[in-house]
Amino acid sequence: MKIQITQNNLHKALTLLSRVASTKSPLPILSNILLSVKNGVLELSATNLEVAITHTARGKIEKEGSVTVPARLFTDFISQLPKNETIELFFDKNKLLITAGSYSSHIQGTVSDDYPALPTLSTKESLVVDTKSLQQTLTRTMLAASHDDSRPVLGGVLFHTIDKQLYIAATDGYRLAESALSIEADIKNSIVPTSTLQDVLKILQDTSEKTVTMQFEDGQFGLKCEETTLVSRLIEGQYPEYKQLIPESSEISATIVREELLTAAKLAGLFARESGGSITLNASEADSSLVVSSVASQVGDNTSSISGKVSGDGNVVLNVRYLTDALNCFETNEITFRFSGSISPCVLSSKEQPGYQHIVMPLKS
Amino acid sequence: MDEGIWRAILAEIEVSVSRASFITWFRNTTLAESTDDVATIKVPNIFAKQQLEVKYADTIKGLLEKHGLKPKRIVYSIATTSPSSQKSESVATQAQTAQATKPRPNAAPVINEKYNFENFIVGSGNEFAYAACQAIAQNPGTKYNPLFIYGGVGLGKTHLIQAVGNGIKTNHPESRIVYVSTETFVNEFLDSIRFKKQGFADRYRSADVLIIDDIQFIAGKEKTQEEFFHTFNALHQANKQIILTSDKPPKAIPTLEERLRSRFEWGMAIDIQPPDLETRQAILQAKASSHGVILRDEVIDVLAKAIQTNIRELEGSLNQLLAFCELRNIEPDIATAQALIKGKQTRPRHLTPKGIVEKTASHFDIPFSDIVSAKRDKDIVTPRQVAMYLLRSELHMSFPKIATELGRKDHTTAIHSVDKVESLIGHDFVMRQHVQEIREKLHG
Repeated sequence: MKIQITQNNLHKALTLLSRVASTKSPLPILSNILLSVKNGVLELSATNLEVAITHTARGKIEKEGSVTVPARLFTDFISQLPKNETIELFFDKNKLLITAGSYSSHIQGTVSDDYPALPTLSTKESLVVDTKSLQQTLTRTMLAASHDDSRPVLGGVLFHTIDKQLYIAATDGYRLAESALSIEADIKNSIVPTSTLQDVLKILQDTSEKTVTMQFEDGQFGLKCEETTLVSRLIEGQYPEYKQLIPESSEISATIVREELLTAAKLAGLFARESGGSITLNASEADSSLVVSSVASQVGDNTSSISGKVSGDGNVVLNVRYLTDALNCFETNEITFRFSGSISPCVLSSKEQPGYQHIVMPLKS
Repeated sequence: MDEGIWRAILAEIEVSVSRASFITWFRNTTLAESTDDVATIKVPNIFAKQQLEVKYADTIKGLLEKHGLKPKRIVYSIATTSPSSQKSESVATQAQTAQATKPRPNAAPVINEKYNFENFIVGSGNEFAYAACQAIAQNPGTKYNPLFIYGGVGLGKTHLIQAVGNGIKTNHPESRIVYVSTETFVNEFLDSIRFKKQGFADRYRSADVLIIDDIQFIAGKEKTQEEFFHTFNALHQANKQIILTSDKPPKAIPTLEERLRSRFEWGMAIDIQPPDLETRQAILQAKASSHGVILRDEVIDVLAKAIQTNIRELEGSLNQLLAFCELRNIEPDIATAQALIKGKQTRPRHLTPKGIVEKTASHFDIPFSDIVSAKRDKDIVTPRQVAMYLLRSELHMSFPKIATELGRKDHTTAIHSVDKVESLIGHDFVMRQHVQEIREKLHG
């Protein structure tokens, strides 16, 4: 194998892949990156047996062939080399010779025959989605997914369609985020691991493409974006019927400026440290205000009053972290906060950001 | 047999590959099926599938042959353990067997197999309709033709008629059942005119059993009514069973042609009443256990008492409660149930305290001035107590306010009255009937 490639091209590919190549796997070869030169391109692949990423890089090809090298060392070495330098990779007799101007080194490689066969995208039809909106949607939804290993399905994000509308939802049982994207297809219910979606986000950040394609199939999720292909397994199991938990209407609702509520929540949070982050929101229709308050008996207390359109009276106790997280998922001027008393779910939404809702469960006071 | 072979094969692979590879690729694999034609190997995920397919294909083929299996091809499939996929598989096989035994497959909106007589809960409000439907399922077309079932939304009309459909399917697998909603009937009729499609009349007139849901929507559509009239006559003369449902009795459907109205009343028109408390409790118990959950009686009570007129809503709130508890990993308890139904109990806007008292008074045929007076005659005291109960249950008014509304000074009278009526509803049929009828007048 022999190829000449610019440092930029190679470095870009390796930053995507090195995250995936894992040193923790029982199979030592999985901490390597597979380099394979064929059909006129260099293909770099890495997998942790949950997700596999393949990136195609362009370069000047002199001889076909393939090899695997330790991801960490190879990536670190390439990233230190000067930008725009042309790098020559030459593989012969278990050794990869890397030459770039006056720098050169040998890295001990392993023959690629031992590297597992990676799943590929199927040829079936795929969904085309807007890169920007997918990126926003995923960021806003993923944070609600659970980090608790005892319930694997909640560690993923649910993708499902109702009437050609794609719903992306995540929940940890204390909060829930749901976004809608309209697409022209129906897919099976698929639970994609959160770690996979983090890789997806990284790919989406790096690309300049306007659209990407996604595939949902038996047991696998696929994404293709320019030269990068990602295939991931899905989480097995039945996702809870989360739609049932979103109240259609609430007794109390307040439409207020988002920034003001966010500031009030952060201020109240300062006095909520000893109470495990619990802050109280009190809506008053007569005063058309939402009052955010918290008390730290040893330190002091805090009260902020935000005026806005308020209907109904009542109060609810929330965890300040969940509330600020939820507010940060909106990029809007106004926000509608609705609830029905102190034990039913609170819903945050905004007309300016249609299709998205964030539900926060109250704390029992 | 297959299991033993696969275990032997795995043992051989285990010694020839590294321990890590073996665990990574071969753990949780099974030989699901092997015929002369194809061997199916179940694997846990796509990575194992790809690896076995590409890298171990020859090894596996060789080992299978060594153990006497020579399939033409080897298929690797991802084993799904999720209940949903198992369910959809079993439904698919059911549908296939059903088609195999039936010469003519039924046309589109098919009868849902999950609605049958076994899981229909019978109570005083629907036992007559239930009995009639069972009789029809045994001998369609002989008595009660047409059968016209009417009642409010979410009381089980659709369940019952689908159960008849399923019953006839079992008892008379050769009969051709056509089940449609009125909307479909109307749309197909319009299409047949607009695009000059053939076969509309044939499709309906060749049915052995015609079941049409929500026939009240035919109101005002004159041409469709005429077409339906002819279909109806053709079927009825040939002694084919016709079953219709509606949300109101034939008399109360506006702009229904007289000749259709009289035909609807020809056979048997039965109403379904809202379920009483015990029936609601039984429904909830049955639904919960079909979800594999045993609910405590107190929790069931909370739901059954809160939602009185609509079974669909009753099931909806049960599902909501179960989903909520599953998600949060907690046991369903009274507090959670109460919190969930609280949002549902919104005050109907058109109801006023005065309106309730007036309606109650007129239901019992006593003047309004008597019910708010200080009289203690028994025929006035009972209506007054019922009025207090309704003020409490419909408008969630406070006891002192209820007392004032009925000209009492002391709110303990109100507390006592509400308690008394509540307990009477539990066991006294007459009282239950009174309260039900007043409620219908209030909401209707």
